[in-house]
Amino acid sequence: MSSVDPSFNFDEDYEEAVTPQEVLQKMTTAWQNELCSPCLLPTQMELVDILLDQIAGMEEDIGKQVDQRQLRISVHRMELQRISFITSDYVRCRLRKIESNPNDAIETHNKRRDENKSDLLSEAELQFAREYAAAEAELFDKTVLEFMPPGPLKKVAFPLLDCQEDMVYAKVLGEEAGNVAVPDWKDLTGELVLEMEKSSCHLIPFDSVKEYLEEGTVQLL
Amino acid sequence: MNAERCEYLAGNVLIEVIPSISDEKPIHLISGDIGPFEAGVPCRVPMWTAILMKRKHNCKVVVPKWMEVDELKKLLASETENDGLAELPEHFFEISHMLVRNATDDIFEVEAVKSLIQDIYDRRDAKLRTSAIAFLSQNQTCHAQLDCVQLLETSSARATLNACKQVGTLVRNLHETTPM
Repeated sequence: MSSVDPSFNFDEDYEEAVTPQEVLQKMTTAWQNELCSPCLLPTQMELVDILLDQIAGMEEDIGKQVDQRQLRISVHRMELQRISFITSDYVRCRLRKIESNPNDAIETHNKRRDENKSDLLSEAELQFAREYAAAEAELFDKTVLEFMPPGPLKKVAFPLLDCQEDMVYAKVLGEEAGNVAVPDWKDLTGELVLEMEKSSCHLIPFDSVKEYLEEGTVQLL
Repeated sequence: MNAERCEYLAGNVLIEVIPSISDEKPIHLISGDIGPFEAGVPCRVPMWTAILMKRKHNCKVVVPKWMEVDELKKLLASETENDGLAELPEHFFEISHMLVRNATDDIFEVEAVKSLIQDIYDRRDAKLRTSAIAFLSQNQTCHAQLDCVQLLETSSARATLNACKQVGTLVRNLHETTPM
């Protein structure tokens, strides 16, 4: 019944085609990680876009079917609702994090660009962050700052997000979660190094597993 | 991440059902193919599909092996003997909850099953509680290993993360204000 092509390229850099199942699997992982992490993770908006296309295609196919009471129609509709939920929830979570500190999001995004790492925000998210920050600044100006005397008060550009002490539950997926550095609370100038075995779960500072998270060796719980 | 989202994830796990309808053409979902169905012939489908079909009276659910009374007794025993957490099937609590809610008639000795699962949950909850209190009462280490913990359990324990963060801030303050 489905006329959707199961193989397509979602990124010009990749040579093999990626199946919709794999995209959905990656989206589920990204969603789980984003919900459990204390700060914004690099964007996976391409997955959302691909899935939205898939949903649109499938809805068109369903609409064309003659008998709308069949079991298979209900099953297809339910699957589309499930996929819509996961994509919406992912975007909702990211927007909530951007809104809590839009300037930090923009700053970190630019820093990552300078260091040649993958983007933190998608184009649309960056636009949203800028507009939200501007709107918030205008609100504070008009309601409070305009009425404050120019005085000796120093202005802080924007509050920095301090994720240094945030902890997460993490599970090791891959084999090589080799030497993980964890701050040594007995002597804060030093670090302890841990070995994390496959399938082990840890309660650990977020900073220690951030890189492994981006690689995909670790999953947040 | 909360209990509802855990249940959503559990919906993707495959389970065996015996359809009571037949359909020659398989269903091509975005997440994979299902069917074709033949009445009376067992077939593996995702949990969410199974629940949907069960609600429309289109199938019987085959309860997974680990949810039978004898297997649950073994799990409870291993949970009692072990100091750490015992290994449970993935989404153990969510799947059992969904089946008890939607497919009660397909579960043999459903009351015994419910009480065993409740016992397993209580044992694990007690272990997690005591270890969380012990962890938060110390300031020597910022790392703990908790193998075999379930996603549902970590979702309920998010308050511990906040508490750990506060302990971390205190340790940092202590370090920064202590004269060298």
